[in-house]
Amino acid sequence: MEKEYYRLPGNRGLTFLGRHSLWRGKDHVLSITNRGYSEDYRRFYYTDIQAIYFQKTAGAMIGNILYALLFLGLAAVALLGWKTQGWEEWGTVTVLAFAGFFLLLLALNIARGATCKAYIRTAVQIQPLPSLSRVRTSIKAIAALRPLIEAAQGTLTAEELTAVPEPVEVPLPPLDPSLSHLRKKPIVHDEGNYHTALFWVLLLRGLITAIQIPFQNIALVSVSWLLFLVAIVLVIIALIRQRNTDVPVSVRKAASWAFGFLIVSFIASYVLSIHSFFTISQMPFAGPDLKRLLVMEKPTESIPLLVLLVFSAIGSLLIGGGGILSIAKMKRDRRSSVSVQ
Amino acid sequence: MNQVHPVVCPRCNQRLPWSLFNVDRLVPCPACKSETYAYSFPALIKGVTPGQAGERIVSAEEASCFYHGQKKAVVSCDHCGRFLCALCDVEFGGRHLCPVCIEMGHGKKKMQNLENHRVLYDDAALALAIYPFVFFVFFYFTLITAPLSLLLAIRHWNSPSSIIPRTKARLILAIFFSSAQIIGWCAAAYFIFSSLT
Repeated sequence: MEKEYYRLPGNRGLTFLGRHSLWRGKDHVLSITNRGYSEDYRRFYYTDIQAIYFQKTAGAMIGNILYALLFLGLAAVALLGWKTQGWEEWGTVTVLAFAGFFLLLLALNIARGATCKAYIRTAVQIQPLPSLSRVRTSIKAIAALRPLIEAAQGTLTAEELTAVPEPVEVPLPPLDPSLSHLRKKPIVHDEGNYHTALFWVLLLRGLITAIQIPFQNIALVSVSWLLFLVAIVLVIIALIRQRNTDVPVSVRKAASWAFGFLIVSFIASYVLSIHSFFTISQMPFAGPDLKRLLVMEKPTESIPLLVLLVFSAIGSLLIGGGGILSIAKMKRDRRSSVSVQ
Repeated sequence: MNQVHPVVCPRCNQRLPWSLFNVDRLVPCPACKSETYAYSFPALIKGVTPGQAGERIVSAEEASCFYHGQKKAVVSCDHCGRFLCALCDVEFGGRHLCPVCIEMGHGKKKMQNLENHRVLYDDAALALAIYPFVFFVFFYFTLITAPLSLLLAIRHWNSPSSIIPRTKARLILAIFFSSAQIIGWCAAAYFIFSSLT
């Protein structure tokens, strides 16, 4: 017996709303949102579909970086523990097993390919398709739907499409309320004050970290950590504020790089602190002492700490310096455009 | 040609040029350079076809619409047989139906294509049977959830499940697990009672 619905390529995309799947029927596409105990259905009839499109996102790349860092971090902890702390075999193997799990996740993420966000558009709505979360499966799904939609509507040749005049100011079709961010918002002016503060804080932190390498002491370590926390807060505020503003792409990219760098620094510091904790707890002192924990290891005596400090100093100086130069160029361009007017 | 609404880039909200569409490959958005794959269809440029209001009756010999006595009937409802004018005629799922039949079909869940929500009693019964057991700290809740799951599974054995056909495996598993939990509780109660006496 012929089935009524056939599942389209795509995983069961999981969002806060539930699990999503896409099915093709005789005369419509069915989008199902499963909330565990109930299902919601949306139908898009082939005669009504105006466009299907998707855009590549950085989700897969971020996932790869995360899994790689977790794998490397756990593997490093396991090897350090085994070599320097004399961990028993079962302990090392357990941590390595966790590391192997993240390696497997990394391999799977790479195999599945780049991520994307897909949308379907009709005259009355633009609806996201969460189950189409990978580029490869989205292309397959569109290839499966195209013949059915073209059978219902006919084909739209490239010549017919390019003959359509580009619309200038035409009201957009109503959007799904969850997609209000897609409606074009007016661009607002932003001085870039938070970006400026962020890059100066990074620059200062880079300098302090560079000084910390030969002159390790608790004051420098504390100031460095304080600046790190301030930088984290500033980068989050800057990334949120820069949306729909006239901040140039170079400044936005510098802020994004700063965010990625701070996250990587944090993870690396966390892994190193675990190693330091084990090192100090093995020593003949009465329990872990925060002061000793912070200053006991000298960069010149500990290769991992030296590598981390050098990475942190160079990264902070480069991103902070680059960001400040971008801000200076932005202000110069704005002054020159004002003077021309 | 109707006015065409622009398709905007989801990332930068700038209009995507038509040259980006129907090229069968990822193409960067001119504004933000995000790689985009877009396919459009004739409905984009055709727009929505306006509905018909129905023609007035010219002579007394013409059949009239059941709901609009002054309008000419053009088709009969495939469900109830009433004559319908062009305004009342709703073409749905390849059939001509009147608004009343559509409303009744939606209300009584007789028309699957009109349903936009279903409660999945089989999933609910299975979740009640399994989740408290899996999350061991909530184990004691099985005293309540196991009978509830069994009741739900039996009561809704014949209730429609998902629109996508599925077997009764979930209901069977729910009955099995909930019964096992109930038997376990009964056995525990028996042993406790025996040890007390």
